[in-house]
Amino acid sequence: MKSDQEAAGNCTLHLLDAAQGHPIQTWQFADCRQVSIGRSDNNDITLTDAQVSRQHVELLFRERDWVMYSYGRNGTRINDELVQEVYLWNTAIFQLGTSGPTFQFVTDQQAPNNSQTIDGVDPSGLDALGIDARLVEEEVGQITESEAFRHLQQHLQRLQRDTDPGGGGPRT
Amino acid sequence: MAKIISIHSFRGGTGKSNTTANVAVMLARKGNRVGIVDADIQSPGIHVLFQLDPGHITKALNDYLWGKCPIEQAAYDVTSTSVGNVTDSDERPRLFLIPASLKTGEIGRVLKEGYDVGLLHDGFKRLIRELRLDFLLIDTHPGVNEETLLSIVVSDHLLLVLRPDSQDFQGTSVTLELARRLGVQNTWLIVNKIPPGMDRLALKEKVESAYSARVVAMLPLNNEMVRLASSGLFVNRFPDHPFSRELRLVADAIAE
Repeated sequence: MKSDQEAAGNCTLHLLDAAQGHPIQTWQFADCRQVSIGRSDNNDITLTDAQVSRQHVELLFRERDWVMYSYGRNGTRINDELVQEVYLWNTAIFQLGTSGPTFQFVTDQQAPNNSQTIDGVDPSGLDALGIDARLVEEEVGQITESEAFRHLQQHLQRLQRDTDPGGGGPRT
Repeated sequence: MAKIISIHSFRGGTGKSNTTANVAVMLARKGNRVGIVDADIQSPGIHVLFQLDPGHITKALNDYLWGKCPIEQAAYDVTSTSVGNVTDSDERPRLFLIPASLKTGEIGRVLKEGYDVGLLHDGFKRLIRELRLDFLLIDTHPGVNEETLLSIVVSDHLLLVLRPDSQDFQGTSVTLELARRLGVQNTWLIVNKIPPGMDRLALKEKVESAYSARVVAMLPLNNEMVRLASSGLFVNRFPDHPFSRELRLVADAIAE
């Protein structure tokens, strides 16, 4: 078994189309600990874009997750905010420079894009969700008739008298 | 005036403690003094998220409830490890954790003998006063029992955490109805562990319609949370993650 120091991971980087947001080029890295992106030829992903520095970002696998370090002169952004060191999550999107290339980071490919999966039209899982009103009434009735519940109500009445003579409910 | 917020769920495993801890950190980061009480005395666990070494817990909520110490003596300042960027002399932000005892004998004693729930409310008031808190978050024991109901009724806000499954749906309905009968006004819902493939909008509408209550956050099930488990605070490791951004809505709503 590999130690944390030796641990390696898998990741995929999609270069996204600036207008449509769909992948136009993809790089896959398997059993890997380090991925670099920049303008120099010695990077794992080389880009020729004025916004991109010679060594712009580096992704390092740390324990169970990937950490991205930004070294580029024009910075790296996630959700329009500059980041320098950030743990990446599956489907995270980052941009090099202010208007440079945009990548989507995918790891393990076990969880599809969050926004796709929870915004997608697939309500089948909701069909089973429901409330049995009769059962709720029965259970609530049993609890509210219990000694403990009456004791609590008495305690509350004392609290209301003590803390809020105006009747606005117990507050600290 | 300080606000008390109870975070509760009908069943265990909903992510209640994780929600409590992460929202507390976000509230503190807004420049507040925040306290967390681990009122889940039967199965304490939130201390793990704050890396609070059990060996360093010399006083716990149990000691206060049994009259052994004032409650503020069981408060541990976890600001530097969870919020960061503060010095000892900074008044704000501050984050305090009041853990429950981890000793099995003391947990057993609670189960066997119980305690005066009225003391809990006195303790909350004292904590707010002595620690000069802006917010006090109560991590309750799942299910319905007297101390949980007391925590709920003395709160300004009740946050109910549920998963989108039928058991949680039914049980949350019972809890909500009890809270209403006890006069609790501000109940908000957090839907957690939304699985891939489930329609977020339809789910939110369904929950709000079923409970006639506001849904403040819809939290996706995600691999990063599963991998992190209880080894740290999610919002610190993944501050820009969709899960963290959604949780921020909870902190914003509380701080309003």
